[in-house]
Formats: sequence, structure tokens, C-alpha cells
Amino acid sequence: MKPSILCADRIFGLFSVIVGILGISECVRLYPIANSPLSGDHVMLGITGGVLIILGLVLIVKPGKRKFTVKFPERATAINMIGAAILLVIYSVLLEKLGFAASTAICGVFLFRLFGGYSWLRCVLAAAITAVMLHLVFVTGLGMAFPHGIFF
Amino acid sequence: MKKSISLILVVLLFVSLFAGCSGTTESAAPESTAPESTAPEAETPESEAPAYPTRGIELVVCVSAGGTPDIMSRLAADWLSDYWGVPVTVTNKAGGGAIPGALEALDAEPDGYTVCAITSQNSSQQHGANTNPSIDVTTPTYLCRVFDVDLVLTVNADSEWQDITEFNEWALANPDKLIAANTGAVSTAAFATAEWYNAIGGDVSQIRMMTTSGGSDSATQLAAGNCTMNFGDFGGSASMVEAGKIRFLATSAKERNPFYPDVPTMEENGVTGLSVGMWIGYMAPEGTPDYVVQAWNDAINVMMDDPEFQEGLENVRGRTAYMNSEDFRQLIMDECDVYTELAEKLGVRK
Amino acid sequence: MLESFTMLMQGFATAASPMNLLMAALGALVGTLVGVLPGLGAASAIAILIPVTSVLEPTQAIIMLAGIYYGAQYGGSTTAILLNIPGETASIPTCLDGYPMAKKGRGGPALGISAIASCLAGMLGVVGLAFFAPIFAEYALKFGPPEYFALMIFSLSIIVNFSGEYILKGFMMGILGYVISMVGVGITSGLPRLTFGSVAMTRGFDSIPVIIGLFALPEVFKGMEEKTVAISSEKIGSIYPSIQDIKTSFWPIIRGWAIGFFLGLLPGCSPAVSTFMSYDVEKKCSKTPELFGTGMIEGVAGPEAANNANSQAGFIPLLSFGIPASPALAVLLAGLMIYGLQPGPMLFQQQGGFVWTVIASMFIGNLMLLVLNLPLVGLWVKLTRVPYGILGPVILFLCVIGSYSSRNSMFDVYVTVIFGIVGYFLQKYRFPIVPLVLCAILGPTMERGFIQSMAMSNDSLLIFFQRPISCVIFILTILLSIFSIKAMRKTKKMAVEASGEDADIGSN
Repeated sequence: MKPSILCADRIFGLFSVIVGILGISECVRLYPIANSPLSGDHVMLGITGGVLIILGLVLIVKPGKRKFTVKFPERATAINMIGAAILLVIYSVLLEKLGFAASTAICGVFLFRLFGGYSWLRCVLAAAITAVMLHLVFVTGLGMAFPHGIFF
Repeated sequence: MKKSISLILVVLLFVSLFAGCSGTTESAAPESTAPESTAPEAETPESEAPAYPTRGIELVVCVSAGGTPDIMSRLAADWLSDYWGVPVTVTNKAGGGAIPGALEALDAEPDGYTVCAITSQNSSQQHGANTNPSIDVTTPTYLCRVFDVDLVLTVNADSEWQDITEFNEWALANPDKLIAANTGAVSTAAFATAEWYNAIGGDVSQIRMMTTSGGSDSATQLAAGNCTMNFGDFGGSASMVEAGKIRFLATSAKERNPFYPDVPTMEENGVTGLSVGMWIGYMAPEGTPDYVVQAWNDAINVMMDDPEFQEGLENVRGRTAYMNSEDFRQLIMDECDVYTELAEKLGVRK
Repeated sequence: MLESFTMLMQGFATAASPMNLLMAALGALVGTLVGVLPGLGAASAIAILIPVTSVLEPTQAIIMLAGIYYGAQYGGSTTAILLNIPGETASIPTCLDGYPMAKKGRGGPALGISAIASCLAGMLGVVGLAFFAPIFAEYALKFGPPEYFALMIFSLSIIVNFSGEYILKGFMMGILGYVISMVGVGITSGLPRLTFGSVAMTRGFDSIPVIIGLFALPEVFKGMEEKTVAISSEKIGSIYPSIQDIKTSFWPIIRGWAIGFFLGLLPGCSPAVSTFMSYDVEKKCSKTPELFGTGMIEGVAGPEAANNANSQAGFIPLLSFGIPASPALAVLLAGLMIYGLQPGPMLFQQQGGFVWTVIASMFIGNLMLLVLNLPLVGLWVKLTRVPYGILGPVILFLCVIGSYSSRNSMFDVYVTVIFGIVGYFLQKYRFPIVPLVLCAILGPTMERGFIQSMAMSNDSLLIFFQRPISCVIFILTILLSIFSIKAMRKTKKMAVEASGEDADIGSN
């Protein structure tokens, strides 16, 4: 099977080349600051940048033969998974705005629903218990400093 | 002890949740509420300043746990927690040259419940080293300076130099052989080295610097003979000196350190005008009300006179050097000029 | 040496006092619990508890804090095996075979053998500590920046074995991991690099959020995809490993101990180096290297032994020079100093009683850890049978907590989420993740070693070959790489012949 233009290896190769170019440009920027040509923050940036560009190009030209098939989940599961990923992002944002306990409870409801498909009532209960438990262990018990929220 | 017992209890509760869940799903009834560590709800007096503090204070330290500013701040936080009856929690936000942690703390509400430990590194030194510094030193509310840390010049114990004068002569004559340890181009060690070399009449740009990961790493490199000298705090070098691997030559402080009375000062040996030192103070976001500044200064003053605190401080060989809000601000402003000049000489001002 | 033996015996006598025993047990227990909770590492636990222990006598307090330290080392393997969440970098190799074992319903033996390996290696480590502490102090300093650079290159050469079918991709992932580690403030200039003007990025990427993102989150997504009912719904069987398991694990434990102990003696050497190396060695020693990654008990026993031996050996540079090998030991150092115990050779002379009591208590503590933990194994294993609908979200929350708590930063939470999503696709397309993580962890040490060497030699690269130790390490690296690539080809061929299809060799 001939690798397509946009196979995973080629995308990865392209990404490496871009990172490599960024590395080289940072190397050029930092070079004048260094004490000497080989001791400074730019050295490794330059080396890794150069190697990444070369290897990336090699991979673009000669991607590996894939001997396995990548199967993505069916529609319903995929939607659930995307939902979970989005919820995770929302959770991170809420964490900053509402504090730990409140955001855990809110996102917990939807996450339990997505993962277990339980009834809403059960999800609310489970989320509330999880939020209280985690809050007790990590915030009250271990004194972790989560962002201050509106409730706790 | 009480804290650790409640910790264990809470953890056990947590475990029991999992055990409970394994049978049937979420049948667990709401557990008995664990003791919440609430601050004494002090009534706000109608008249002037509101009561402070009434809840926990977050004390941000911009180095990782175990560093000198962390050890000192934990001592203080521990004492303040007892004194005020509210938890004063040390939060380590290390990395990025101690700057991002400070920026984050300065971004908090100016209500006195977020306080940040600062050293010259993330105030005057970063100001001196950058034409466009990340932290604007004029804006924060400075509470007070509390601790002072003396710097000392050390060399390998197998080296020929027995006193600072011999070393000064050698260093002047052999700039190409001198390798000084520092903890970054913008660090107390780098600035102290530059200032010293400048003071004995040398050109700093001629010497080489080796960057280490911290004070104890510098001492290790020096003991192994990988570099020639190190300007660090006494604490970072003490165990290597005891081990007979490195030798104290002279301290840059004005007076001899009480814990190391045998180590002479630079001034006694004719090297004058040294001012780079290390101190630890506390600041809060811009616009923090005066009653917070007052409360901190009052509490710190009581703390410094408390024998129990002094004993703890003696164990970590720390020293208090109190400065009130005004003097502390002035100190930082003065240092800014010193460091700007030094950074230019070192060639690190960007 | 005889002298230290008598001292050690006296230490045992003191350590066996009821109060000291209690402290060792309490420390080990708290440590295990702390280790089991992801994110809350030994370093923060010790930092939190130092003020609490101030009511105790110094010896008791340090016994307890040391107990937390090695207890947490053990506890960390529990979540690695059961949930694929490595609480710290050193636990990653444990995930590689421990988690597949748990999935196959062999979580009990995996945890059991990890407890036994930790205990054995820990006790051997204490014996080593007693014998080597006085001798070794001299040698530690011979290991300078060039040697560190050489050692890092040596460690990175094992990437070859973690690269899967296309070695080129393994190298590229490694270099990308290294680039990730360079983001933030440059080590010499103090200026930001690769941050593109972002303040949050100047703190750089911490390894814990990256690891949680790449290992644990994709696993949760996979669980959803495969509609997992529970991580292991199988019968767990005996929670104790069988005689056969113990036999298979015996030599891996000894080898793991040796690797962990000797690397632990090097000041500032990350424990992750020793666990990765031990895993690699086991893979090389095994008759069936292609089965690694599918639940080989040797792959759990070796790294676990290495990890614990390493944590014991770390006490030598700590007590004799005050050089901490890990963040947790740095906090412990602070603890020692708060009690007025300045580490150094003088500590052994002036406070000999204290030092040897703590060493003896670690021996006892390791035994206690085993006694306490074997019965708990059953409890932990029950975790894997919690319905996935409940456990999945809880794991997600724990991942977020873990990544946040490593540096108290929201930025790290976003890093975890992004790496989690990227990691899912990387795993789908079988891009090797271990090289990336390994380089991200070791990169800073390597760069520092290089730059420091250049400062020493005035920019002469010859320094790496002029110093005997680093020269030997470099030669070993080259030999080992050739050997690895050859062995890799052979294994692949054998695997193809055996199964008729191309196996996915160690690429997850």
C-alpha cells in the first residue's frame, strides 16, 4: 500500500521540520548573548533544531510502511469521547473561575453521565459525593492551594 | 500531630469510598462532615480597619521546596499560623527564574491573602538585567524585609590559596584560568562575583562562568575541582567545608557571620564597596491596604523577639534583618541602580 | 567497615524502641497513602509534614519523614500498575508491564511482586548504605559534568529499544521531548527561550503534567472507546505472587537493586534513569523480549527494585555531602537542617547514633512496608473492579489534581489536557511515547552537563574523551547501541516468524 500524501508519518515529519525551524531561529536569537560558541543556551537548540529538520525531511520523503490498521470508534462512542475531551477543557476553565469543589461537582455530573450512562439523579449524587470527597482529601486534608473559587 | 491524624482519617475516608463503590454504585450516604479548619470569625469593627487576617493566607515562594527562601518562609509561616490562628500556607511556584510565580502572586486580589516572598533575584536583579523587566518594581506593596543571608567566597580545599589576599592576587593575574560558579547569568552569585572582581581591579568579561543548578551544586562542583571559586551563601557550602573539600576565604558582608566567626570579611582585607547580598522579604499585590502592611509588620516584630522562633532560625543558621515597608522599598530602588550598572559590566543587560 | 557494622547494630537496638518503631510504621503508612494519591509526591508530603513533626524528637521525626519518602516510592507504583498513572517519572517503566498485568486480571501478583521487590531492594540498599557510605563519599565527586553528559547519552541510547518498528521515529520523538524540556528560561542566560512571549511558558513544561497527559489520559479515552466495564473484571486470583512468579523475579530484583543502588550513589542522578535502565536490562536478559509491554512480571520487579534501591542509596550523597538526588530528598535535607543536623561527614562522627538509627530504621521500615502492604494489595486491587463509569471520571479528576499540584499552576492543567488529546492520537498511530518522555526528563541534566563541560574545557569537545570515566561511558554507549540495534532486528524477525505478523515491539 502506497502511503498517502497526508499520512500520519508525513504530518509528523512536517511538524518536526516546523519545530526544528523554531529551534534554529531561537538559536540564532540567543547566540550573540552566549559567553562562548559552545557554552550557552543556544547550543542544544541549534543541534536539536538541525537534526529535527533533517530527520523530518527524511520522514516526509520516506514514511514508514504501516503494517497495522488504525480503527477509530463508531459514531456514538466518538461523540462521547469528544464530549469528554471538551468537558475536560471546560473543567480546567471552570476550575479557575469557580474553584475546586464547585467545578468538580458540575463537570462530574456530565462526566458520570457520559462514562456510565447512569440516570441524571445518580449522576448528580455521584458528582456531589466525588466533589466533597476530593475536596476533603486534597484541599482540607492536604492543604492544596487550588484557585480560590466562589464557594470554597 | 493533630494535623497528621486528620490527614490519615481523611485518606481512610477516601479509601472507604472506593471500597464502597466496588459493590453497588454510589449507594454511599453522605459521609459525616470532617472538621473544616475554619478561621476564627472575627467581627469587623465598625470604626476603621477591618480585622486581618480572618482566613487562610497563601504565601507564594518562587523557588522549589528546600531552597533557602523556602526554608526561611516556612519557618515564618509556621510561626504566623500559630500567632494569627489562621493557616499561612506556603505554596511553591518555582521555575522561570522566580519571575512567573511572583507575577502570578502580584496578579491576585490586593486583599492581603496572597503574599509573595521576594529576594533580590526577582526584584532588583531582574530589573537591572533587563531594559524591559518582567516585574515592575515600583508597583508592588512591599510589606517588610525579614531575613538576611551572608555571601562567602569559597575555593577548593586542595588549592594553594590560604587567604583572600593570595586569591585576589592570583585571580587578577590569571583571568583566563578563573572559572566562577554561578546559578545563572542573572543570579546573586554572578553579581557578587562581578562586583568582587571589579573591586579588586579586574575585568569581569575576561573570566569564565560555570552555571550550576543551585547553591549546593556549586559547592559540589567546587569540591570536585571543576571550577575555581564560588560566591554563595554559607548554608549551601557548609557541609562541603566540614567535609574538608572546600575552604571559606572571606565573606562580603559588612560584619563577620555570627555562626562562622573565623571567616574574615572582605573589608578587613581591603576589598571595599561590596554591596551584593541576599535577603528575603515579603510583598503583596499593588493596592494592598495599609492595615495589612501594619498587621504584617506588627506580627513580624513579635516573631523576631520570640525565643522559640529564634531557636528554629538558629538551627537553619538564618538571621533576621528587619526593614519596614518604606525602608524596604528604598533598598530595592537603590539596588536597582547597583544591579543595572553591574549587569552592564557583566554584559548580561538585555 | 567492621566499625560501621557495630554502629549499625547499635542503631538497630535504638530503632527497635517502641516509639521509633511506631514512627517508622506511621511514616511508611502515610508515605504509601501519599504515593497512592497521584500528584501529591513525597516532596510535598514531607514539606507539609515537617512542621507537624516538630513536636517529636529529631530522631523520631527524621525516621518518620524518611518513612514517608520510601513509602511514597512504593505507593507510587500502585496507581502506575492499576490505573496507568505514574505518580512520578521513576514509575513509568512500572506502568509498561504492570498495567497490562492488571488488565489481564493479574493486578494482585503485580502489586505483590512490586512490594516484595521494593522491600528486598530496600533492605539490600540499607546494607549497601552501611557498607558503602564511608567509602563512597570519596568517589562521588569524581563524577563531574563531562561524566554526567556521557551518562545521559548512555541512558538515551536505550531509546532504540523503546522505538517500536521504525527507529527513526523513536529518535524524532526523543528529540521533540528534549525540545519540550528546553522551553522556559535558559539555564545560563536566564532569558526565556521557545516561549514566544508567553509568561506562563517561561516556567517551562514540568515533566509530571506531560507524563500524566501522555500516559493516563489516553488510557481513559481508550477505556471509553473499548466500552470497558471495569479495568479488570476478571477474577484477581491470589493476591500473592506464585512461587513461579517469585522465581522469575528473583534475578530481575537483584539486577534492579544493583542498577538502582549504584546509580543512586551518583549525586543528582534522577531515579528515572535507574528504572528505565533496569527495564531495558530485563528486556535484554529475557528470552522473550517481544513479550515485554504485554504484562511480564520481570518488567515490574526490576524497575521497582531499582526505584527503591535508588531511594536508599540517595541517602549516601545526602548524609555525607548534603547533596539531594531528588526534590523529595531536598525537602528532607531542609528537614534535617531545621532540626539542626547539618549533613556532612561530621554528621557521621558527631551524630553517629542518630545516623545509624535512621539507617537501621529504614531497614525495619522496609520490612514493615511489606507487612503493611501485602494485606492492602487486595484492597487496592478492588479498585480495578470499580465500574468504569465511576472510576473513569474519578481518574480524570485525579489527573487534573495531580498535574495542578506539581507546581500549583493552571498552565500545567492545560498542558495535561492538550498532551492527553495528542497522546491519544500518538498511541493510535503507534508513535513511541517513551523516548519523548525519557528525553523530556533527562534533557536538562544533559544540557547542563554539556554546557558546564564546555565552561571547564574552554569549548574543547575533547574533554569528553580525555577524562577516563566519561570516555569509558561513551565507548560503552556505542557498543550498546550497536548491540541493541542488532538484537532489535533479530527479535523482530523472530516475532514475525512466531506470530506471522509484525508485532508492536515495546512501542507504547
